[in-house]
Formats: sequence, C-alpha cells, structure tokens
Amino acid sequence: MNRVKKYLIRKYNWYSSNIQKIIFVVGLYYILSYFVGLPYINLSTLLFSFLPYFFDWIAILILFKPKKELILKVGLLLFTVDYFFALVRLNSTLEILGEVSYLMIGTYVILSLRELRTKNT
Amino acid sequence: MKKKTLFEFIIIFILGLIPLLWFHGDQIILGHDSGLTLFPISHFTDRLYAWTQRIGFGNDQTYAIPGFFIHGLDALVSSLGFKLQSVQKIVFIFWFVLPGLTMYYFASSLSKKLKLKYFALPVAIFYMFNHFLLQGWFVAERTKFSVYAALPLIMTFLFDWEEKRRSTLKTALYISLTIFFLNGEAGLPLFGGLFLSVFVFIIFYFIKEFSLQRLLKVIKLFVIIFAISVLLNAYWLLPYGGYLLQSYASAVAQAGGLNGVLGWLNYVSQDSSFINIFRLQGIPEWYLNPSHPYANIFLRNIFLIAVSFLIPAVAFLPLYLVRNGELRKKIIFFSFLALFSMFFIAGSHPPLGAIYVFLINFLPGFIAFRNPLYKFAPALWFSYAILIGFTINHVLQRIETEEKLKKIRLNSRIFSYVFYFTICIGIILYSFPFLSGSFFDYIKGERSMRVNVPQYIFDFGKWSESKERLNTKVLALPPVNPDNKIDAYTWGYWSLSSLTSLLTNAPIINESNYMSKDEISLIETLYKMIKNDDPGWKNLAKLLGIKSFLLRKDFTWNLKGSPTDNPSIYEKTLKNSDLSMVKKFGSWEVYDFGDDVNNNIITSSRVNYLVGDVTDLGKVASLPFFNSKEPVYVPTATNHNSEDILKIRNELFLVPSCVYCNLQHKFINTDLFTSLITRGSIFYPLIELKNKFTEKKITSIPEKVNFYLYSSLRSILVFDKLVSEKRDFNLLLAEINDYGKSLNNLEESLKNYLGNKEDIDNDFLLDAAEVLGREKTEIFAGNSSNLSSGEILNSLNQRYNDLQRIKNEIDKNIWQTSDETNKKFLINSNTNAQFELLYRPKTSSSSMDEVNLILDDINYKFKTTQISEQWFSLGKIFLSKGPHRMSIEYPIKNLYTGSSSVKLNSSADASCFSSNRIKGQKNDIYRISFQHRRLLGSRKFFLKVLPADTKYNLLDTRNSMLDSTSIFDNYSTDYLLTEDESFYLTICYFPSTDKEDFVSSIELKDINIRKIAIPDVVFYNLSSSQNSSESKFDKISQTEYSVSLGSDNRKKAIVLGESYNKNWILENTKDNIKFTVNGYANGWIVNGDKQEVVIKYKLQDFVNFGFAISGVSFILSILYLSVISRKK
Repeated sequence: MNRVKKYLIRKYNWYSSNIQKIIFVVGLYYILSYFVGLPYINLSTLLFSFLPYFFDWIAILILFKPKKELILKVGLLLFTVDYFFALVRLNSTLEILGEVSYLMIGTYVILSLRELRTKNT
Repeated sequence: MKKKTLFEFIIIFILGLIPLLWFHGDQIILGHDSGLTLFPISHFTDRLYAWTQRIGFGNDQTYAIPGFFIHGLDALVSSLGFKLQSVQKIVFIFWFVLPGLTMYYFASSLSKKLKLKYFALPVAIFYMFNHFLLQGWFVAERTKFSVYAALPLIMTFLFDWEEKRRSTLKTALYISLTIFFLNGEAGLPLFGGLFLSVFVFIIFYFIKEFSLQRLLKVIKLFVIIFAISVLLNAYWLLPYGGYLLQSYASAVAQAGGLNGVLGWLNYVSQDSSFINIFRLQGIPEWYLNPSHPYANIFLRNIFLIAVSFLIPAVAFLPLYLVRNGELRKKIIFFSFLALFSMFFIAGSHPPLGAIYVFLINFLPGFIAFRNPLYKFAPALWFSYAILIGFTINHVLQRIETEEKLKKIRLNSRIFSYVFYFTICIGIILYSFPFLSGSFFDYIKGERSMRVNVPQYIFDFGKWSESKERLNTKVLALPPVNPDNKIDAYTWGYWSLSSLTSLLTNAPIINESNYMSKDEISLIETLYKMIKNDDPGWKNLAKLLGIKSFLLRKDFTWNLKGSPTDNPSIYEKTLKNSDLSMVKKFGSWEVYDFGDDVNNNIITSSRVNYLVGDVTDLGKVASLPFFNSKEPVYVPTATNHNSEDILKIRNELFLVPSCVYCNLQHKFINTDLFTSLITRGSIFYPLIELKNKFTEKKITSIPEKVNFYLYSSLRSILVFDKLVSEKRDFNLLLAEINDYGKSLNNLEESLKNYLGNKEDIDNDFLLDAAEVLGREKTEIFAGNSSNLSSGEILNSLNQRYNDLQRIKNEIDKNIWQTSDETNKKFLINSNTNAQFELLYRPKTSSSSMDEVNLILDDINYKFKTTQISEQWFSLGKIFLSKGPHRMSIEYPIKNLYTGSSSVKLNSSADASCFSSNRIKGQKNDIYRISFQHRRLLGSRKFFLKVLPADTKYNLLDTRNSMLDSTSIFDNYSTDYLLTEDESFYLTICYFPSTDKEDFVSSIELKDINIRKIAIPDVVFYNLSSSQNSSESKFDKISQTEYSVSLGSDNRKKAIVLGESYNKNWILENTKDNIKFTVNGYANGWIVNGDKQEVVIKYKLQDFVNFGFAISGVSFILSILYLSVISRKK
C-alpha cells in the first residue's frame, strides 16, 4: 500500500511540476490543428497530415527532455502492441502505430548521431 | 582459411544448390518477364550488335549490350555442352549463391574488425533467403541479383577505405571492377539501394569528422571511381549514351507521361506503409495479385505474422543492447540506413509520400524510380541483415558467458552453436517458398514459368537459324492481342516478349511495343487484310519484305483478357492462296510465297508516291495494277523529302481522307479545362495576370482564335462550378460577363481567320465546333433549374445567342460528314495532273453502275467500270495542286431482315422482340434506328444491343428505357464493336409486380440496322514508266551491308528493309537523301555515279570501339592490382 501511495505521490508531484508544460503541449496541439485547417494553409496538411503531431513531438522533446532510451523502448514495444492489432486486422490503427514507431526510432537514431563524433572507448 | 570460415562457406554453397529443387522432369523456366532464352549462345551473339532483327521490323538494341555478362554467363555454360535445363540450373545456382557469398565477405570483414563470433553465417543466409529475393525470383531477375550482390562488396571496400586499410586507387579499382561485372544490365534505377547506402556512408563520413581534407579525399575517390568505371564500361556507355539522351523523354511517354508515372506510383505504393516495410513486407504483388502463390500465408497465418513483427524488433534491438564502442557506431549507421531507405521504399504512401512525389516531379531523372520498393529495398534488407546479425551475436555471446548455464554444467559453447544454427534454419524456413520453387507459379493453378517446351519449338528454332532462313522475313500468325500484346501458348508459355524473339535471331515479325506507331498500324492492317482474305494482302506483305508466314496452331488465341483470332481463319486464307507449306513442326506450319519477294535491300530507279496515311498502303496494295517491287514513299510530318522524291516518282496515289465518316464525335475531357482557382479566391488576380500575359504574347490569328476558344470553355466551366457551389450573385454575373468577353473576342478573331480562305484548317474548325458544342451543353447543364436570378438568366441567354451565331459561322465553313449518305472527303494534291478516279464501295447493297459525287462544288455523275473484284474505275478527272473538297453519295443497306413493323405487348408470350444476328468486326460501327409509339398501357419497355450469345437480362435496365408516347418518335443509337462478334437488337417488356397494371403495348416500324461504312477512293496518276534497276548486295553482318548499284547513271532509291532509324547511314556517300519508305523502312536517293555503297548501322562502330577501350582498361586494371599484390 505504501508503495502504491509513494508511486501516486511521485506521479502527482510530476504532474504538478509539469502542469504548465502539459497545458502548453496540449494547447499547442489545438492551436496547430486549428492553424493548419485555415484556408490555403490546409494545403500543407493535405500533403502532410501529421504536421501538428510532429511539431507537438518536437515541443515534447524540448520541454520534457525524455531519455532517448525510453523513446527507443516505446518505439520497439509498439511492435508487440501492433501484433494484436494485426490479428484483428485493424489496419488503419496499425499504420498509425507504425508511423509512431518510425518517428520514435528515428528520433533515437538522430539523437544518437552525436556519438559518432566521440573517440572509441 | 580458418576451419570455421571454410565450414560456413561450405554451408552457403550447399544452400546455393536449392535451385536444383525447382525443376521437375524436363521443365525449364521460361516466359513472363524473365528474358530467359531457348538458345543462349545465339541470343548472346545477337546481343553483341547494336541492331537486332529479332524484334519487329528490326530494332536498336544498344540498351541490351550491358547484358554482356549476364547473357554471357548463360552462353558460356551452354557452350560447355550442357542441355538447356542444366544450363539454367547452373546459372540459377550461381545467382542464388552470389548474394550469400558477397554478404559473407562483408560480414566476415565486419566480424574480424568488431570481434563478432556468431555473426557472418546468419547475416549471409538472411541476405540470401528473404522476401525481396523471392519476389525477384518470380521472373529470375538476374539484373536485380547482380546489383544486389554488388552492394555488400562495395560497402566493404568503402569501409576498408575509410579505415585506411586500402588505398584510394585500389579501392576505386575494386569498386569499378565490381560494377563492371555486376552492372544490373545498366538498369540505373536498380542501383537505388546502392545509391542510398553510399549516400548514407558519405553523410556518416562527414558527421564523424568534417574537414576540407576529408572532403577532398571523398571527391578524389569518387572521381577516380567514375573515371575507371567509364573506361571499363565504355563498351556499352558509348552507344548507350546516345540512346539515353534520346530515350528519357520517350521512356517517360511510354510510361504514360508524368501523370502516368504518378498514377502508377500511387498504385504500387498503396500498401507500402511503414508498418509493412518495418516487417519487410509491403511488396505490391502481395496485395495486388489475389492469386499470389504464397503471400496470403504470410498475411494470414498468426505465427508468421508474429515472426514479421519480431523482425523489426530484433533488427533495432542492438540500439538498446550495445551502448558504446565501434560496434555502436556501426549499429547507428545501419539503423539510420534502414530508416532512411524506408522513407524511399514507401514511395508516395503517407505520411511522407508527398516528398517522394515532389522528387518525382522536380528532381531530374528521379522519375526512373517509379517502383520504389523494388529499387530501394536492397538497402533495407542489407541493413536489416547486419542489424539482426548484431542481435544474434550479442545474445549468443551473452549465453556463452552466462554463469547460470555453467552452473548446470551445460556446455554453453555448444548451446550457443546449436542456437546459432537453429536461427539459420529458422531464417531459411521463414522463406520456405524457396524450397519448392512455388513462386514460379505466379498465378496459382493458372500460370507458371515452369514449362515443358515441345520439341518442335526447338526444331523450328534450329531450322530458322539455318543459312537460307536466317534472312527470311516471317510474319507470325495469328496476331497477338493488339491491346496487351501477350504471347501465350497452349503448352504454358505466357509473356509480353514474343517466344520467337527468344528462340531465334531470324526476323520473325510479331506486333510489339518496340514498333513505331506507323509500323503497328501497318502490321495491323496486314493482319486484318489476311483475316478477310482481302486480295491486296499479298502485295502489302511483299511490299513489307515478308516472304514467309508462321502459323502457330498452339497459340492461345482465346486467352481470358487477351483474345485474338483463331489460327484456323488464317490457315484458310493461306491455303486459299498460292503459298506453299514448306515445313511443318508439330503445331507450327511455315508457308512461303512461291514467286519473288523483295530482298532486305532493293534498289529502284523509280519511287511511287502516296499522299495519305501509312495505313492507306493497304488500300493501294489492293489495286490490281499495284507493283509491290517498287518502293512507296508516304510523306508525313517527320518524313518530308517530297521535292527530291518527286524527281524520280512513278505512280502517284492520292488517298482522300473521309472527315468524320464514322459520325463519332471527339470526347472533350472538361476536367482538363476546369480551373482550380476561380473568381473569389485571393489567388485569382494572379490567374488574371497570367491570362493577360499569355494574351499579349499571342500574335498570329489562329493562335488568337485558339486562345479565346479555350478561354470561353474555361469560363463557362467555371461558371457552372460557381453555380453548383451556390456562390453569390455578383460572382456569377462577373463570370458570365467574362464568358461574354471571351465569346466577343473569339467572334472577332474568327472573322479575321475565316476572311483568309486559303489558310483555313478544317481540322481546327472541327475542334472549334466540338468545343462550342460542349459549351452549349454546359450552358444548359442544369443552370435553368439552379439559377433564380432573372438578370443572370437573361445574360446567359444572350451569351447563348452569341455562341450560336459563332457556331453557325463555323458550320458554314467546316467540311465534315454529317449523315450516312453523303461522305465528305478532303484531298490535297501535290501536283496539277489528270487522275484516274478509283472507287471501292464497302457495301454490296446496290448495283454500282453509277456514282454521284461533288468535287469543289461541281456535280459529277460517273459510269463505273469494274477493274477488279472490289475496285471500280470512275474515269479521268483533273486536279490542280492544292486542297480540294469532295462529297460522294453513298448507298446504305439495311441489314435487318425481319418484318418492318412489329407490335410488342406485355403479355408473357410476346414480351420480347429480337432482330436477326448481324456479324461484324472489331471497331465497326452500326447505326440502329426505328420509329416507335405506345398503343396501350403504361408499362415500361427496354432496349438493348447484345452480343449474339448473350440473353437479355431483365434486371439490367441501365440506360435502356424506351420512352414511347402515342405519336411515332424516332429512336437512333450507334453500336461500336469492341471485338469481332455477332450482335442483335432486342426490346423487352419489364415484368411488373403490380397486379392492377394494364396490359401495355408498343409499335415499332422502319426498323433499320446498318453499318456506318467508309468507301475507299484513290486518285491515281502514272508519271512515266522507266525501267527499274537490279542490284546485288552482301550481308556482312546484321549492322552492315555492301550494295552494288549497277553501271547505269540514273538516280536511284535504295531501300533497306529494316525499321527506319537515323543511325542507318550510307557510308562514303555525301549526296544522299534519307527518307522513310514503305511506311517503315530506310530509304536513300543516291546519284547514279556511285557503283557500290556500304550501308551501316553507325552505333555499331561505337560498340566495337567501346569493347576495345573496355578490354584494354580491364587488362590494365588487373595488371595493376596483381603488380601491387606481388609487391606486398
């Protein structure tokens, strides 16, 4: 019970300290969604419907600075989730999850590129 | 060699023997898109030339020369005396094992550097056994395998160079030699995966450290690679360079233009989502071919689905498992390469597809990558193989050092090796179709590339290559289906490549996509004439140099989706003629002309002249006095040496063109003229500006008429769009005013255009009439019901009156057939001369004693004289030089033979009326007309024109209701035959379930079914009869002939019976004029002073020179490398 309590407190504290960032990210998403729906700008979403999510993802990376290992783990674990969607043939969901995996693994690889400059240990 | 390496090497070799499992009995692999031949040696020798006689009327094949090594290997194995099946087995083993070996070389090199114990073998096996190669083996795509095998080698050399293990020059030599041998038959798009891998290598090279020195080093390496590769590949680069420069535009056009490419791209990219590509799926055929031999198993089996998700997880796991060191850098490299290649493989599929489409649109040359998966996938499979290898190695090395295993006294090393080989077996099993070769059965139970070729096919092949037959031009019968040109036989062969082109180098003509439009028209005309036993077919065949006919009774003429003619139709014609069967090979029969036929080279001191279309050669060839030994010149837009040819012309044929004689009007695709940006948009001023700018630039009157004509069409389409969008009053009014302005400008410019009678182009007026007719339709298109404003309706009415006025003005000047009896012709005479008027009616309706015609407003009544079975002479008539208009009164015949008046009622026993069956040919048009009225009741009657073997479907009432009233109405419809068929007219009562419905009846009268036929007319003039000259020629090779012209000093025409190509030249004769003759061949006019000339295909010199450069460069490269290695 104590562990659960500790966990909840930890989560609560995390949300309390990051509430502004969370609101910003959520707000940014809505603003971007509205913005890309405006006449003529909506031409860009016709080609790249993921743009609001992409900019939101960049905002998350900047604001929350998640560990890149966590990003990779989620990207890889999604393949397990995908399997169940594949079994029930929910192809549209599967496709979106595939794109998320691509984004996550891609982010991890790009963030790792700086390692190439380090000398071998 | 280490024991382990040797052992793994042997395993790869043993696995390489898997192709032996694919052959059963005497089967060989043939057909589809494989390009595998029946006689590899002669096929290879033919490919050493820049010109081949195997295809069409002869064809340039510089594009095929890069296949030197691929086809050379087949020929080499065949020359060792093996049977065809054994040749294929050996060649397949080579191509199967090669990617495994090159990948093993790369993986071994990596494992040495990074000390990876359990790595090389699974990596090599994964690279050998996978879905990408499986799909390639569908058509035994050796070009793909060669580039695929080259990729690991080139990457090894690049990594070694980066680590300074090899000098820049040596690296460049190794890479160039790899590309020299494994060149993918110069199919540049196949290098897509290699390009990506090299590109990522360069990115990483600079990410690690960027300096000017490193930049120069990279530039140096690639400049040397380029230079050596150019020298090594000179044998195909020299001739192919010229071909590439010409072919880019035509290749794009062949693919359906840019729009066609984008359409295709979307089609093949529809299933290449990231999730499918991650799982190494998304191969278009898996989803587009419902009869795919194994795709459904992978898409539906839950175990295999689970494995497919395991693959990406295992591939990207090393990113998580390995956190530092050189290995980590390699993992990042290959992960980046995998993700980068995925973007390209996905093609136009969302979410990033728009970028790919942008590259196709704007990056020069990128249009070649219209099949993204097949072109870029090697980079993904390459990186996945390495990444999966890293994971396997990591896991097994962990197991080996695992303390827990040691505790239970299990030999961890043995355990690791068992696991190692289990994984290898697992990889092979995951690609299980390799084990049976089931992928060759590409439409399960229906089509397969594994065929048993009948012995008579081989016998014919050998016979046709004999000395006396090798230069005999043969026409293959029956023809292939002209739409898809599929060559298929009852014993299983199916391909777009004609079987004869894989069987022999003899010139056997099949209709093919390699032919020009004119050649296709000519050959289709000939086929049609043979089919109908038209008396002129032998003349036309002789004119085309055809000496022999190959009747293939085993041809699958009734193939679903690709029907053609029954061989028996042609057999009947051949047997009715004076041709003799010279040889029979099983189901294949060869018929030859008994008398002389034109050789491949003829000379003549006179040339006949035909003003008309190339297909009109069929008409003039059927004239009783036509001499097929004399060449015929047909001037076209690209073939215009008229003045020079007129100097030696003999007979002149003017074939008038019948304008709209089939009474079918052009279809205007309004989507092409509907503006996206319309009035009301903030971008509209830009459109206005652009229009003003275009208007200002126009200077000539016809261009002005054209501009205002299409402006008016755009304007009325925009108006309709605004109406349908229910836009406000002012916008509509402004648009209708714009339309009015366009019409006024059109009227004014048209007045100027029509003022100068000499410049009036009838075709242009026909187009204008069509456009204005379409505008008329658009004005009425629901506008009256959708518009409520009186002001707009008045304005629209005014515009309609303007439009009608303009149309009347055009109609006054236009020359076109508007009914079935008065056929309107246009003639353009190139000389003032007296002509004999020849006439061939296409109907046997009435007696042909008299023909009434109007020529340039003068009435003529001609008595006819029959000069042959089909042709009549109408007498002499003078034509001045220039255009003329002619109208011929043409009798029509009613083909309906039943009662002229019919009553139909809704009682069960007489509820349907059917006409007699009428037999017609493909593209014939029939007009069906009658009068009808309702006698009783209100029940519905429906009308259909149906093929003879189809019964009326009472439920199918689409577009077929007969709307009768109590007064007689006319009904008329046209029926176009899409194939040779019999058809009939039927009218039926639609059964009603309403019991209280009254009995209904209708009456039909004047029932008429007639063919809309076009009579043939020829104006004939004979200039002066001179003796034709004889010549002798020697065929030095298929690209060179020596011709002796005789000693008389007259001008002469030389005809080479190969498809026209500007690279065919007369050597050492400057004063010659080149032109297309007989509708397809190369012709020259030479002065009489020459007694001997050489005809040469110019590009062959390039080939010979290129081979010399390549040979010397190769020897020098090998010498350098051996000297260097000896020094070491």
